[in-house]
Amino acid sequence: MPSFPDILPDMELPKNTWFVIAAYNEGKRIGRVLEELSAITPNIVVVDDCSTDDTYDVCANFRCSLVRHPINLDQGGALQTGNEYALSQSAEIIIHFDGDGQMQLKDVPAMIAPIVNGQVDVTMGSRYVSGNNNVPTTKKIFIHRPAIYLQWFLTGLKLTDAHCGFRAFSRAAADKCVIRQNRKAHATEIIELVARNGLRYCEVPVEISYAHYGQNFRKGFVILRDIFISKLSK
Amino acid sequence: MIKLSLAQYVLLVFVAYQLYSAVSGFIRKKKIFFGMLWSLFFWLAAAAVIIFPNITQLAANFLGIGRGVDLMIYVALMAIFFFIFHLISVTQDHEHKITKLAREIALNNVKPASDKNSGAVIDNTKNTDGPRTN
Repeated sequence: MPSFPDILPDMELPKNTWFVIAAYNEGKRIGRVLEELSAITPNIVVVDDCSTDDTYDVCANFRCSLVRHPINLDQGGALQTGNEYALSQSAEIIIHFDGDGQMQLKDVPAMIAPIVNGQVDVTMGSRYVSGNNNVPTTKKIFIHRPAIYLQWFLTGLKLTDAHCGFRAFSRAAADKCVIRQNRKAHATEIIELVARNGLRYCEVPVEISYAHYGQNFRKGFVILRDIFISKLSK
Repeated sequence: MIKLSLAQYVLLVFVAYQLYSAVSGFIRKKKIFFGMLWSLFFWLAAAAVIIFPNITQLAANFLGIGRGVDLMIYVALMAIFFFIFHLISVTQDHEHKITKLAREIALNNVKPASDKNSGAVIDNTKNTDGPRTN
């Protein structure tokens, strides 16, 4: 079994680092991710969000903790379940990782280093910090850019990326950032929680590979609707 | 003697039923006193408007709105928006409760990591909905 430093030579994975993976119908892709991850740590919790495919069965073949929602809650709900499980297992650092292979394991050291060093409480992956990304131009102009400005308007935090999904939290930060938005608006909610709780944060350049889907216009409107409703009902 | 149209009679029957519901709800302890008082005030005001429609014209003049019927439309619109807002709040509240419940069920049935994790799974929770993408 390869050790963490072999794969990620820059640093060692701190002992109580947990990976949280929200998975819904990822049966075809999650195996590859877990194969890589479970080789370096058993501290992985996969939250199967009531998939209708064989996601659970595939995950059961790997060294990871498995949680299965009895009903589909969506991504935000699954991530919060994962956070709660990781916290119950004494996690000191929690990393949100995708189950579809879009995120790269090589970016993990850079994501957790500022937390390990005590510089920040939360790190957020960004596809735009380095300026070197493979984000499709239409997506960049019509989805990401407006989302960044909307997020700035709603939270007061101006980030270079709005919904990357690659995040790392210290234990204290994960404890404070309780996600209540079950659907995709959780990404904006997390940033709002970071601002409201006065948590220290930084963006870290990461590489996201666009093998298949991502956010589209329709999902963008669903996010807007959820944010609007949550603001109304507060 | 005030002459009422058929529509007014029908509406008054509906109001009478609402008044009865408010009082009986309080008696059966399904409503608090203040809630009953509020319902009585609202439905008695509605009855007054049904019997004396000109009241709305007086109120409209007082508020600087041209016609009584315009005032009713504005009030109705406000009531509809309030009702929608209330429904959204209730729906959100239910969603949070269901989420909490689903999470608790899930966290009570965790399959912990072990070196011998293998594919045998008993799954009686699969839903039959079509595929959705997270």
